[in-house]
Formats: sequence, structure tokens, C-alpha cells
Amino acid sequence: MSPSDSSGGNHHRSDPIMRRSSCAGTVVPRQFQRTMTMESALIPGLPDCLALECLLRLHFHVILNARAVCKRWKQELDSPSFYCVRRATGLDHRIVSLLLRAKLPHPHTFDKLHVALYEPATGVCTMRQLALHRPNINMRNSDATIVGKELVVIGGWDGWKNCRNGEVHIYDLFSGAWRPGAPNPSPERLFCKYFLMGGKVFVVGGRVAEGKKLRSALVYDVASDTWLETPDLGEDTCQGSSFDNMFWGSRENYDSAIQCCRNWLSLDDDYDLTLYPTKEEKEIFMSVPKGKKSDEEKSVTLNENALVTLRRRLGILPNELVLYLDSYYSGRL
Amino acid sequence: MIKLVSGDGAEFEVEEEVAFQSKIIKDIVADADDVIPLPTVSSKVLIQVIEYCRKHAAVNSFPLSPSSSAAAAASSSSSISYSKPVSDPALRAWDNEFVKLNNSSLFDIVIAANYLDIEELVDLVLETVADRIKGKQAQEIRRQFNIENDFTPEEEEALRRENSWAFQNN
Repeated sequence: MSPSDSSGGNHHRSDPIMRRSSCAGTVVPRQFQRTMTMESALIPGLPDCLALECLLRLHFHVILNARAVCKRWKQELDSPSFYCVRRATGLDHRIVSLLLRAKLPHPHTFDKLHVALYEPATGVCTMRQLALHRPNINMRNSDATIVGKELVVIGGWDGWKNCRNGEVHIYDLFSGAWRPGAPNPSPERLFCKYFLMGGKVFVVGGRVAEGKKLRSALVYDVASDTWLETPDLGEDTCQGSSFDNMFWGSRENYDSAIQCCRNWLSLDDDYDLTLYPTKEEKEIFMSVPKGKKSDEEKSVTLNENALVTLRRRLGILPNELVLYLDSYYSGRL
Repeated sequence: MIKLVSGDGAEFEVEEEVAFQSKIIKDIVADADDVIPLPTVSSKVLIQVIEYCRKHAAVNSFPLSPSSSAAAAASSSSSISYSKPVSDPALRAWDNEFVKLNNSSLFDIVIAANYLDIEELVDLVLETVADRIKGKQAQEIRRQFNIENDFTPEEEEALRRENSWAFQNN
């Protein structure tokens, strides 16, 4: 009996780092035992712990195809924990999402919202019509962030009441399925700043209709589908206040989140995107204004291929991009 | 010198700095003798692994300064110490040549490298395998890695619909 039976069998679906280090530490090549006892290997000839690490390295557009290889690949690539591990191990990649309205005078696409995902590392731009399976949602003036493998769209414009609404819609970037999220409890805030931290979307500051400046933040935890409002972010007020341990996980998480909110609150109100053409108008550089945190991470240059995609699929010319762009987000997936 | 013995009984004498590319061997040598049996590694694979370690030991041969070894210790304990890109372009070119092997040879090497805990080599091979998945349709990926398609035609059709993304590849 080898010692690997006790440690090897229960490592399925656990952290691949653990699995990898446990692979390294044993003398018996347990990978052969595993492939015999389990349904089938992820990649025949390779222990699952190593095969999974190959999958963790794939870029978004590669995963789209890889999901269709076999059931086990799909199961791994569709599981939310796969994207948590990817993030934790730093094997995720930068991705920029653009929510765009089509300009083409085609009844099926005109004015319909599309998402374009651009991978700066590979230069590949993938695009899909968002409203296809959910024609009624109105996401004009919404903000989108990528959390795990999902696009979290917060807020929109209620055309009937002519005001901002607090709807939250969550879109699975692989299956294309929508699910509703808990609505923003305070949708009337305008000119908020959005950022993502630890699987939570932060909606910082903003103003109410009378113009009064708000100094608190709304925080949406995607995993638990709950909203929480922070106390006033003034220098002294947060120190002694109680915090929700269930929501934040730890005091350190809470403290660093509050600090981050304060930094964002201190930024200017105009959080506009800057766009300008480069390389003889063959590429477009997009960035948030200087003075914002991690400028490098937030800016991107759309390559010629991406611009061709926008023109062919949506009819948008490079110099019109700003007119049809509803939301810009730079994150990791 | 350290003597490595492959699974088929072949003996290989290598310098310490070459063998110590493997963290496992480093640990074993610290509290045991200098003949190390590696029963699960065939001599064919061991030759390739030693070739890799010899090349990388030569390039990395500068002595570790106290600060960098402290940093290395810190990063290994934090468990998030992945994919440190090889910075030397000549070495990277050599690595690219080294991995021009068929899948099963690569798999044998990565299994041995994982067993010997040679992190850079594991990363190199896994990155190479991931690269071979890139730019292929599902059917080509299956053929490349000998994977059976266990989807029903209905499931395949549903996946095709889900994958209705427009591509603009380079």
C-alpha cells in the first residue's frame, strides 16, 4: 500500500498548489493510480494537478473553445473556484471590457448593447450581443466590472421615470446566461466612482440630486449577493465603528477597503475616459485621467484588429467610439 | 559531485549546483548521502532534466546575495510564487528549443520535474502545453491531446450557441 492513497485521493478539486506540492513530495507516481480510479484524466498522460495548471494559464478567448473539449474540461472551466484559484496564483490575465451600443441600421443589432472583451496580452477582441437573451433590461449609463468569470452590471437608466435605477444584472461570460443580483439600495447617487477589490464592487461617494456630496461607499459582495453601506469615510469616523465580520471576512480586509475608498473619494469628480488615436489612427489609446491610482493598469491601446471588429460588427468607426461606449472597465480574468 | 540513479539503474554524476536546481535533491543531500536513487525517473528523461538544470545552473551561477535568498525564502513560503519569467533572452531562446518535443515526452519531463521540484522547468513545460491549446478548435484540441469527446450532439449544439462570440484573431 502506498502512502499516496491517503493524501492523493482527497485532493480532487482542492487548491492546485496543494495538489502540486503534494505531487512533488511523494515518491510513488500516484498520477497513474489516479487516472485509473477516476473517470478519466483531464489530459491523458498528465496528472490532473499538472493538467489543471495548464488550464489555469489559458487566456479568455482560449477558454471559450476549451470548454467544448469534453465534460471534465467544461466542469473545471465553468466552476467559480477555478477563477478564484487563477486569481490567487496570479495566473489570470488582464482584460478590458467595453459595453457598446451598435450603430448599424440593422433591426437586430441597432442600439443593442454589446460587450467587447479585449485581451492586451494577445490582442484578441471577442464580442457578443448582451441584450440577446434579456431584451428588457436597460443598462444605459451602467457600470460593469468583471468578477471571477462574470460581468457585474450595476445600475442603468430608467427611461420611463427618467432617472437612474439600481438594478444589478450579472452575466456569465462563458454561458451567456443572465442572473439578477440584489438591487443597489441607493440608486439615486450620481457621479460615483466604481472599483473592484476582493470580489466586491465599491460604489464610492457621488452626489444626490440636490448636489450634496456623499462621503460614504456602497459595497456589493457578489458571492453573497449582499449590499452594505459604509459609515462616513471621514478620517476619524470609521476607526471605532463596528464592522460586519461575515461581510468583510476580517478586520484587515475592512480597514484596507476603507482606506482604498478614502483614496478614491479624494479624487476629482470627473472620472472621464480619455481616448485618442495613435499610429496614424490605426489604434486607439484609452485611459482614465492622470492622478488616478494605477494608471498603467487602467489604460489600454486597442489594436487595429479590435477596431476592425468594432466597425464590422457594430458599425462604429474609431472616432465615434466615445459616442457609443456605455462603460469601460479594465480588470483581470 | 552528486550521483543520481535513474529508475533503470543508470548512474549520472552531476555537479552540486546542477543537481540543486531540484529543491528535493537539495533537501535530501542536506541530511543524507550523495547517491540519490530516483526510481520513478527513466534515464531518458533524467538526461533531459539534467541538460536543462546544467544550462540553468550555468546561467544562474552567480552567488545569491543575502537579501535575494531572503526574498526567495519569503516568496516560497507565501505559496504565490509563480511564473517568474526567465529574463535572459538567450536562455529563453534555449528554453524554447528545449520544449520542442512531442506531448508525451513533455509530460514525462514535467512529471519528473514536478517530482524533483524544479519549479522553473515545471512552469516552462506547463506554459508550453497551455500554448498548444491556444488557437485551436475543440476538435483539434481533442486530437492533439488524445481526449475523448463525451458530449452528446445536443450538448455540442448548445455549446456552439454559447460560443457565438465574434473573433478577430491576429
